[in-house]
Parts: sequence; structure tokens; C-alpha cells
Amino acid sequence: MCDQHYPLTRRFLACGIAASLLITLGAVVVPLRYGQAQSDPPPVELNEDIIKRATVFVMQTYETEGGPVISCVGSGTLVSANGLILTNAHSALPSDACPSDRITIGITVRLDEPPIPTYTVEVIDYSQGLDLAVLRINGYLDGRIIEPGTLQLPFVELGDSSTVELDNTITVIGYPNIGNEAVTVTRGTVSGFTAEARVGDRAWIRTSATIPGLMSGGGAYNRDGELVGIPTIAPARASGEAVDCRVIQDSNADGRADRNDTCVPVGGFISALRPSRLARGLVRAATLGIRQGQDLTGSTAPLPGGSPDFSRPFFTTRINEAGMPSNVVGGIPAGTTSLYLFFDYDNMVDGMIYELRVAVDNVPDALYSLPPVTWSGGERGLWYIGTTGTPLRNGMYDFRLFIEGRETASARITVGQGPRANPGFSDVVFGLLDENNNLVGTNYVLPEGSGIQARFVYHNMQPGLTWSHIWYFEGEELFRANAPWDGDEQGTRTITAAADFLPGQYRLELYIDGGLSATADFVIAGGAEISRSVIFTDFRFASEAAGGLPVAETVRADFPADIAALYVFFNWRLIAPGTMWTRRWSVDGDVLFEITEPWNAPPEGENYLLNLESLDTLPDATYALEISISNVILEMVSVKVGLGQLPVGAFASAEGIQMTGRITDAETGQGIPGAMFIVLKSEYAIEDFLWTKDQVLGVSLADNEGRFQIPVLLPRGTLDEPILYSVLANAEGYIPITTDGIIITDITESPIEIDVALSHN
Amino acid sequence: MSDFFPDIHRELTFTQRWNSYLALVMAGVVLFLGISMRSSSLNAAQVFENQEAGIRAQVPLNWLIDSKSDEYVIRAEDPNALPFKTLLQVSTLTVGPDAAPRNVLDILDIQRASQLSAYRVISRTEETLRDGTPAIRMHYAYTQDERNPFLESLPVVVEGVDVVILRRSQALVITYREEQNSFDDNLYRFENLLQTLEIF
Repeated sequence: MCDQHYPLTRRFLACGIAASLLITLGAVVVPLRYGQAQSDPPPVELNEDIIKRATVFVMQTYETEGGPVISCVGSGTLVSANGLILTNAHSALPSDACPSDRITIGITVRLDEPPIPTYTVEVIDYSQGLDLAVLRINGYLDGRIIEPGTLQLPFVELGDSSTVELDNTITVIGYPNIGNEAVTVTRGTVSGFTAEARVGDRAWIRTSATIPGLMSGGGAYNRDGELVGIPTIAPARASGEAVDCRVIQDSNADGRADRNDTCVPVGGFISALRPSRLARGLVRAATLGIRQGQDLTGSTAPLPGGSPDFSRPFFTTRINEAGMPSNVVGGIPAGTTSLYLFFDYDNMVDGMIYELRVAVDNVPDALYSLPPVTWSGGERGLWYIGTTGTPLRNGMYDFRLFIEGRETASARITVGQGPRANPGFSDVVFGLLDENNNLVGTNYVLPEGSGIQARFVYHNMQPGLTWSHIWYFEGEELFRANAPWDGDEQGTRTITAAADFLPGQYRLELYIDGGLSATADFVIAGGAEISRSVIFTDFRFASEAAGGLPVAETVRADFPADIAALYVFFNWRLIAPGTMWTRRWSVDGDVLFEITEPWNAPPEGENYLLNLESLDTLPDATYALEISISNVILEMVSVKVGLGQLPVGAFASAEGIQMTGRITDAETGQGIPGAMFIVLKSEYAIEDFLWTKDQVLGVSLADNEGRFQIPVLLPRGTLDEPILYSVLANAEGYIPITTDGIIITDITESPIEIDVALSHN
Repeated sequence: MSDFFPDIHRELTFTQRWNSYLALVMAGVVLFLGISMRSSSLNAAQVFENQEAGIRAQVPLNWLIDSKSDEYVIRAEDPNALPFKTLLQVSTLTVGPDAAPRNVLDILDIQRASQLSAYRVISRTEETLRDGTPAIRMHYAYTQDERNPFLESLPVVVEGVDVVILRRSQALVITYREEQNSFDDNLYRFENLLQTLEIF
């Protein structure tokens, strides 16, 4: 291990005895391993120490004449070595309850001690509806700037939250208090899933873990140590109900810290986790350095004037791909595993807090309830909350909906009814008749015209039953028809509505004997082209725009590498303001941004402008824009930049072995502050070392205790082809110690801990 | 009794005397050689040359040399020094035709103020190098702290000196940094670098 003929050792008169280099292979494992190129990674288990170090304390502060004031705190998680942090949007964005002009990040230096404020961050992107945000560390507290890519921090990667199953063990890590306690671990199991409109059946993971409210924004991990959920609680409200809070400083500089000072909200418990898949786009976009530009064409919708309200609650057991209820039920049999509460909403504003409280036989049930969360559905429309994946126990279920703590609607349903052969309608879909009287173009977005057909399934119908269908336009009844049933007992039926169907939001309700049996919404927009609605046309991509128009010479089908922005222009027709539309940007098939919002431009126009921006240059890739309404994809266009494919390893995490350890005095056992530990690149042995930096993989100087940490990860080899590293420990007045042949394979556990005892020379 | 004790005051023989002289001389020579060897070992230098930058200079032997960075032409650090690794560095900065050396120092100040903690300029003086080249020397200080937040290191007060020389559209910045207690002791290394610096 230590060759006496090495020039290096000659220089220092003696070669350190290799035996005094004590190498301890720690039992610690870097938690996630996406993007590894070689062999499958060995199974790993959750390692709390690494995750705790990757958990950060998020503090919102604002400056006053008396100094900085902490307004709100929460938890966050480092999701990249260069300082990207995933947390709740409400922990990062200023609000009435949490005024802030700066976000400070505290980190855990010692695992058993509270966090230490260390960095400042900037908000890279956020989703208020999902209550998720990605931050990037950009400086030290003293104002020094940190250049992107210069940090090497412990981090975790996002796991696949869709693989989380009922009763899986979940470990939640975060800071439970206002910065005066160490990072904390709490465990529980997955107790269910909550569905929510626009997100789907797994909008929330429910857990039995007891999670303090301030751990909101932290991380929930599966047994492999993968981040699968983000504990999320409603943000504090300035005028909200009974916010528990702590006064920690004299924010108004009156000489006393009392109720007149800023109070840091605390309290509450978290039972819902946002699945990590919902954060994936935000994190990936931040990793690639891509931002979504402002929507410069659509105007900002005025705030609604009326009081926010929920109405027309009803239940369904099935939801179709357009997010519409397939049926309407008043009671469900025992053993049913899915139940959704639909309701209309009006005068809502994104960012409001809404809540569902469910009681089963008059006993509150947290599993079926939705704790207070942020509203993101826009002003008006149809919404749902549901529970899936667990059999509902028998009983009388009372559902109560709240907005900002105020009850606005309620509904009741019985679970445990015996099988009943009630007459009913279901599975309503809309379309147009072709020349052969076949219903074509069936979906929930139809072109402007004078006739619409609706097809539905019926069952257990009896001749003579009274049924009716009522059509609505923008909430106003358009027309209705009542008739005795004259068809078979079961089958499908098509009905026609003849009217001038102008662009806008429509609804059909089907009743049997006065009871709602089925309902669905649809949108009229665009003109008909072969039974299909065409709204958006003439898509053009450009790399530059001026005055809201593409710069002509930059309009292309493909773009060269190194463009800084990508603009897409399109024309539109016959779309009513207020129609909810979704635009989805993806890069190489990976969805980075998805925005659903009301149409805020005129019904017709040209050159609607959307864009993607980069802090530097857009990476080579295929960029696609998808536009949909009511989950119906209407247009999808794509363009290549550079090679049209992301560079290999664009999302690969820094994978490798972390090397840490301690350099001590062999006689006293004391650490040697400032001692240098060098790891050479694998192609160099100690005898090759000429003291040039390009031979060095990483250098670390020992701290007060003699501890060091190499700031780069050591690349792994494989069992067949291990990588061998050489290291050197050196300090003035001591005999240096060197060794070759530290073997790193794909099963070497990280970190490697090396203790070195140096003797005086 | 006296028969049992030889006369210790008797005179040394010629051989004995010269043996003693020789031993003393040898000890002196060995001591001198040891000191010389130590001194030459400590002050041993190697020639560094960068054709592209047009620089040749002597830097201490067995220091850690980095010449592959975009930020500087060469950086040499003493790997043994505690607690701060003594640093010698030569870097270039592209400047406009109207730039004066003081403008270069202004740029460096602004840059460093956002990068170095408690950065403070102590003095600026004009001087002439050995070959008659006009230059400006800036003396400054800052605190160096460990970037890794998980290591518990005390900040080190570092003193630094920059000598700026203008050369066509380039400014040459020669830098020395050392922990404040050792700054004066090792300043000669910087002066050696300046003395041996050749710009071509």
C-alpha cells in the first residue's frame, strides 16, 4: 500500500505506515439512485442520517427598522446537491399572514441539535394549487452570492409515489417546532388516498402518522428512503380561525415582545401528503433551468364580486376520463371502495382555504375528510373530492364543505345498502350525428352549431316512469323536456338538443321521478371540422418575439442549440372567456408545466403567445405543447432544439460515494484543524502525484475537530471493474500518510469514513 | 591516592587537540549543511511557464499547483500550511484601452465584496517593479470560512496582496494570501515570485 520508493514519500523523508490509516466503511447509504448507467443498484434501505441532513428549515423573514423579523417557518427537503429545495408554496410565498422579503434556510449541522440559519434562497417555481414550490440556494446570510452548481449538499431524490400502497410504512422527517428542536422522525402507515378534481384519484396520500403542522413541506419516505410525499397543511391565515402562534421577538420595536408583535404560526397536525409525482415537473424544470414565461396575451381575470360558495353536492362512485361523474348515487352497497362528492363552486379565488369534514354515524372521520388545503380551481365550475382504495365501512356519512372555515354545503349518503335494482342513467357522453345518424366525435368539447346529441346508458327502467332532461348554458336553464319512459329496461339512448349552441359552458341533467340520476358538463368551442372541434390553429415556434409577435427570421420548425427562449404563437376562435383550458409543456415526453385556468382573452384572435425561458440556454430536447379542455387533448405541437434530445444524464443525480473522516494527532488523539486530505483521480497513484491540481479529485481541510468531507462524490466502479483511489493526509509538522487502492464498487456503501492518525515528524 | 587518579590537567597531545578541533568543525559543517539543506528544501522553486498567457515565474517546489482553471493562469498552495493554505496566484483580466490599474482594483473589489466575507481594502500604493514596469499594489483582508456547512471550522483572518500590471488589453494580477499571523513571515515568497516574474 505504501511504496518506499515513491517520490512523494522521499520528499517527506518517510512514508506513513499504511496500517495507521484506519478505514472504516460506514453503514450509510445515499438514498436514491436514479439515472445510473451500469448495473441495477443494490437494494437500499432508508437511512435517516442522510435524509435528516437533507432536510432544511425554511424561514420567511422581512426587514424592519429594528432588524429582520421571522414571520413564518416550515420544513423543506434538498432534492439536488446544488441546492434545489422542495417545500410547500405557502412556506415560500409572502402572504398577509406571512409577510416576507427574504427566505432563510437553516440546516442540520449536528443531528441532535436545532437547525442553523445558513443560506438564502430564491423561489424558482411554484404551484399554489398543489402548494408546492422549488427553491434554489443562492447565497449566504452575509450577502455573498453562491453560483449555481458550486454547492455539494446531501440530498434525496423523488421516488415513484404511484407505487405507494395501502398500509405501507411511511417515515416523515421535518422540523416540528419553530427552530428550537432538532429535525424529527415520525412514522406511520398509508391509511388511504384522497381524490381531488384535476389531479385524480391520488391527489393526496393519507397517513396515520402524527405529523406536527410545522413539518409541512418536509418529506415522507418509503422504506427505500425515497421521497414519496410532501406533508402539507393549509397555510396560516391572517384573519383565519384560531391560528396558534408563538411570539418570538419584538417586531414592532416597542421594547416588549407581546401580542402586538408578529406571531409565528404553529400548531395543527398533518394527515395528508402531496404525492411526490406532483412535484416531479417542478423539480425537473428547475434542474434543467427552464421557466415558464408569463402569459402575455390573456388578461388577468377580475376578482369575483360575490361570496364564495359551494352548491349542488351529489355523490358518484365512478369518474370518467374527462373527470365527469359517470353516475349519481343516493346510497351505495357495502364493500364499495370509491366514493366521490361532486359540487359546483362559484366566486372562488385561488389561494382560498377549503375543507371537507366527514362524519360517519356522527363520529368525525379524518380518513374520509380533507383537511384545510389551498383552492386552485378558479372562480367557477364543477369540483370533486373523493376517497379511493379502501372499502367504506357501513354507516351514515355526513359530508360538510367549508370555505375559509365557513360551512357552505352538506350532503349525506348511506353506505351499506343491500343490492337494489333501482332505475338509473349513467355514462353520459356528447357528440354529433353523421350522415348515417351515427354519433361521432364523442367527448366533452363540441364545436359551435345548432344541434347536440347526448348518449347515456339506462338500466332497470320501466315503461311509464317519468324522466326528464334539462340543459343549462352558463348556469342558466336552456330548456327541458319531460316524458314517460317508453324504451326498454336497459340499453343506451341518444337524445338531441336543438338550439344555437354558442361558445361556453353547458350542462345536461337527467332525472328519474324528479331525482337526479346522471349529469355531465360539456364545452362548446371552436368550429366543426369532420365532427371535431377546432379551436386553436396556425401554431408557430420562434426563438425571439417582439411586441407580442414572432420575429420573422426566428420562426422555425427546428432550432439550433443554445437558444435562450422558445415562443409559440397560435390563433384561436370561438372560445368563450372563462372556459377552463389546460396547457401542458413537456420536454422529451416529461411534463414540466401544467396550468389550468380560465380563458381570459377575447373569443377570437391571433398570435396568442406562450413561452419557455431559460436562465442560460434551453437544453437540447424536443419541446411539446399540449392544449386541452375538459381533459380532451385538442392540439399537440412539438419542436426540436439542437439534437432534439436531452443530454444523457441530464436528470442523473450526482451518484457516487461520499468520503468523510477525521484527521487526528496520533499522540493526543486530538483533531488537527486545517489538515489537508486529498483524493487523487482514479487514474493516478500516489507515485504519480506531481502536486498538480488536475490530478486531484477532491480536497478537504479538516475542521476544528479534525473532521473532513471531500466535496465531490467518488464515482463508483463495478464488482468486475472496481475503481481504485489513492489518498493523502498532510499537515505541517506531521509525517504525511498516503495509501493507494481504496476500492469502490457498485455495492460499496456510502459514505466511506476514514480516520487518519498523523505522527509528528 | 594520587596514583590512582591520573592528572586530568595534563596537556592534550597534538593528535587529540586536532581531533577535537576537527570534531567541532565537522559538527559545524554538518549543522550548516543541515540548515542549508532545510533552507533549500523549503525555498526550492520550480519554473512555471505559460506560453499562451506569456508568463514565466518561479513558484515553490512541492506546492499544489493548479494551472487548468479559467479563473487564473496559475495558483500555487502550500499543502502543509495551517490553518490557511498559503496561496500565490497569477491571473489575467481583460480590460479596455482606457483602463488604469486602479480601475482593475475597483473591479476586483466589487467582485470580492460579494464573494469574500468581511472583505476590506487596507491600502493601495503605486510601485515600480524590478524591470521598471509601473504597478499598483493593494493590501486587503477578509475572513475565510469553510464552505461545507457540515464542517465546524473557525473562520481564518486572511491578509492578501495584489500587484496589478497593465499589459496591452490585459491586466496581470499577482496575488499572495496568507493567514494574518504568518503573513509577514511568508511575504518573501511573494516577493520572490515578483522578482522572478517574466512577462513576454
